[in-house]
Amino acid sequence: MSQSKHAVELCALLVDETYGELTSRIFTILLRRGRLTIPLLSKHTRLSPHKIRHGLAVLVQENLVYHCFDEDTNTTHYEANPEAAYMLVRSGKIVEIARSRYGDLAAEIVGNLFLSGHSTVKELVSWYVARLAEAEAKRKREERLANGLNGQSKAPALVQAPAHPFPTGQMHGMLTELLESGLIQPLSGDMFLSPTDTYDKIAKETLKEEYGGNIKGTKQKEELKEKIRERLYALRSEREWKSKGKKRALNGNHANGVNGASKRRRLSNGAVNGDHYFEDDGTKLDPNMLVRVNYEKCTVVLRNSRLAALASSRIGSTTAQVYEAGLRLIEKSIPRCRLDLRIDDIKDLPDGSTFTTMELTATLSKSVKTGTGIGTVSSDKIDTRKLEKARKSRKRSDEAEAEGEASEDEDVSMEDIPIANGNGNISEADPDSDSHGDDPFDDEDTRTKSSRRAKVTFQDQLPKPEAAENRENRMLQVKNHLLLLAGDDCDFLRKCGSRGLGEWTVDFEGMTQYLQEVEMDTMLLENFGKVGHRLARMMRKLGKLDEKQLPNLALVKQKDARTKLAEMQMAGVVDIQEVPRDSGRTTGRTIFLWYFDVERVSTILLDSIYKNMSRCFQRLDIERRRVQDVLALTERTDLLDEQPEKYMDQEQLNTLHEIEDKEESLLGHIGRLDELVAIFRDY
Amino acid sequence: MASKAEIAALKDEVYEACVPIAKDNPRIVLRQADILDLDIIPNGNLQTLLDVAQSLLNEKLFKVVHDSDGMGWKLRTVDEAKKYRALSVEQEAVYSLIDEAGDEGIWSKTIKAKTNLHDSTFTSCIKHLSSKSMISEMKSVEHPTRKMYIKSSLSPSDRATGGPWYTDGELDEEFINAAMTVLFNYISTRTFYRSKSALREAQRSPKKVVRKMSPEQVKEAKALRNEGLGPRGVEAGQVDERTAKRMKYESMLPMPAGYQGYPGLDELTLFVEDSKAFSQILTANDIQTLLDIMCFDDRIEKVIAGAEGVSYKALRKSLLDEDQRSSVLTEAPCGRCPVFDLCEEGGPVGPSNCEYFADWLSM
Repeated sequence: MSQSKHAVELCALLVDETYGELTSRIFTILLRRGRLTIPLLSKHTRLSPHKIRHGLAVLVQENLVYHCFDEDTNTTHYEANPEAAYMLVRSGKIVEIARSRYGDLAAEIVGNLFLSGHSTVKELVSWYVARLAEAEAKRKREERLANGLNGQSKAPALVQAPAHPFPTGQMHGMLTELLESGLIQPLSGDMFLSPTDTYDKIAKETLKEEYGGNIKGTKQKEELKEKIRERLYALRSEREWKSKGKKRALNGNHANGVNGASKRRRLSNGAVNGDHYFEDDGTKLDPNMLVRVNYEKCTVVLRNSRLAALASSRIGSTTAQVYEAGLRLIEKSIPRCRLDLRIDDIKDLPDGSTFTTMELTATLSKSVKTGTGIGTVSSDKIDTRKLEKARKSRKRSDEAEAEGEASEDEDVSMEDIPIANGNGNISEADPDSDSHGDDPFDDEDTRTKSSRRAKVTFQDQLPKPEAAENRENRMLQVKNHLLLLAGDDCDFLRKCGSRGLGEWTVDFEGMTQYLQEVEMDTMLLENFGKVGHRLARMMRKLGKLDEKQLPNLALVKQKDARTKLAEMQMAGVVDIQEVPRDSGRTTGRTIFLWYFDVERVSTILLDSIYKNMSRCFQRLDIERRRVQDVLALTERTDLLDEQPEKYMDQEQLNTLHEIEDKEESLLGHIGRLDELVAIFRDY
Repeated sequence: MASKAEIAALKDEVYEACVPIAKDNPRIVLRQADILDLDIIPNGNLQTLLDVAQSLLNEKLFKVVHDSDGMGWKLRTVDEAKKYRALSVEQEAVYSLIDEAGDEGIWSKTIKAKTNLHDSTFTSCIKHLSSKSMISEMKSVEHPTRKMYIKSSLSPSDRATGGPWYTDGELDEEFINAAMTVLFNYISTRTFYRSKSALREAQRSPKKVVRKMSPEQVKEAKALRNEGLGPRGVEAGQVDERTAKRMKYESMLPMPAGYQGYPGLDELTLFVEDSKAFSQILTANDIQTLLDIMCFDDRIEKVIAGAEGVSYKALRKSLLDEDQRSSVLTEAPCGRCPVFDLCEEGGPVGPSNCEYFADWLSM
């Protein structure tokens, strides 16, 4: 995170909001001054070392502060972890993800982990058991009360589900589920070391062990770097949760999706009501294992839902549902959104994770009506091969240099599989294929051809999708959606093979860039109107433009264009470059080039979003302080269980509702701003 | 040696002979050999030719031009010549420059530089010529501040007027917007598939947008659909109208991948020509300009499809009204705050005394 003034302010506010003033004071000083020892901290915060230790304990527990013990000087340094602090604002969203995917229990676990930073499996289980017992007791008490009062059997507070017969087993099962999904991760001691310290430590060790303390020349330097990277990579994969015991087919690689994904599918597809039935499958976790929320993975999940939203706005809701399911398939193998240059090998990255049309069709919820969402036209108006060509030409223009042989090969495989018949000839109707009686691929030929025929009939059948819901048809419908996604201008998908009726992958980097551009455009349109939006987009696309050319290209009045450009320059969105045509440097003989710097604009935008968010928090604080007396009433421990209606008079109630409304709109707004931050920083 | 009368007769003859040639090609430059080839000058006598040419020049029926091939003459019409004959030397110099500039017009400064006339002489020349309504002032779009002159009989060229986008030398933004709207509507009808079943579906089970809606409300919503958006509020009708719009939006389905029916430039040009929506003639180039701008406006998008190779399709979000698109940043007061840079807790403006926040929160 860029440590701008506003970012620091926001992080301090977030810590203050969640964990109170003491921690936030220490945290702010750490953020502003970098790593410090306790005596120095005490000097800067003017708090006693005792209090500092107290606050640091909380911060370390929440993983908001890294610590590093230096053996040489026998001191411990503390360092702020701004990423974790920022993630506090996203806590609500992450809890919501857990709820929508794995039910209420998962949401409670994740919420609990947010409050406690990290905890052991044992603690979580006992917390849950205690809570269940409490809820049970309360339910019974209320039931008794209700029955005693008016004898009605209708229990007023029957919100709690009856306790699970084996809460411990249920809890273990749930935790395993969450660990498998990556939403939570096991914690190890070295995670409290900041990434830089970890790097230094590993570097030191490697240097000592492999090279005996010192290296010579650039070649060895490179080698050392590579070795450190490998070690870091190994360390990270060591930390990752590996499922033990029963091997369940949860990843996207299972060949037979229909049989393999029964449980996963049931859990992920529906039933958000929290009345999950958990089978106690005997999975037992190490009770002393520490777990915490895995922010990196959560960001991946959030990114996927954001991409699905983009698909919905660009193409349509049905296609977006298909896309979301597809992203879900590869989610498992994407641990984080952005690669760390120090850890990940960026040189030979694999093609990313892929999913096939068949897998997707198998896992896609039956409630998604794949037959809808695409217009119907006669098949002669569709030419998918042209689409491939378009893709190719676009790709070529993007990567100025053609990849030669390799890309040619890929191109052939990118052709629609029904066209590429088994014996390698690429022709729509191979006249020889009938005479090839002994051709081992002949069988496949006829099958692929029949699927082609089926595709055409599907086009005719589209208006009445209820008619044929057989699997083959559904597969083709799904494929049509996928083709639509791949054919879109912003490249939702990329076809990378023909296994399983087409293999697909997602180029997240390009997508993220597209998302950023969309948000920038929205900002431009709102702040600078149509003309500003138009001019800025032109500059982004065409590069630097002469001031004289701009009005002609954009068809706006010269005067208007100048005013608008000056306005945008004041805001830092565009800038001007002067190119004198001779040494005289007179205005008449100077070319003025306007340009739009994407990177700078996103930095400015991000910073203003931080500021925006902190203002919202500050305002919230002020609003709360204004009605302090009413809020204090609700915080009284003896009234915690009561409804406010019972102990407040009308005026107080009104005030309370008012502040609740304000809280809601401010926090809601902060949450939406956070989405923008995610787009510009995290995805 | 030919007499004066002979010269006059020969002169008339030469001129008569040259008129048809000049009619075929008004830009033709006649040279000495061309005139001799007419076989009018007896024995090809150069002295006679000289006299004839001089008298034609005196009568302003000929005009001397110099080019890479040496000297030659251009023909003037009798009427033109008459006009020239009535002018003084200075006036003639000015007028000939304006004449040569043709429909592009000429800048007064250029005339002054070329003729080397004194300011007052120049002004009087211009005054004289304008009063005889031989020249008139014009405005060029490229240099709106320059004082330009053009022959009265000509109308300024497209380059000077700026083509169809300019009316009276001003950029006609309304016309441009209207033209873009027409084009956009056409492209949009060709981009989306209006699904009746999806519309019915949306009416039967409106997802998320409005939870309960009776058939009466749907009817009401339909009636309200075409009305403009009223002030923001939580009236019942308002919600329904928005729902209706939403439903209409949901029912616009995309065409399948590889669809070839999106309109291309040729088709759009033909459409504009046939629709007779505009009095001006818009060429394919003009339409292309508009399409490019619409691409930059993020309303349409280029696709590689169709017979022409490049076609255009409308973007789905352009179906929404501007106020339906939400922008997170500018929704709350901070995003559009004029003093956001100054805003600081403890500063002249800050979150505690922010009026915008007070308004927004009490909304």
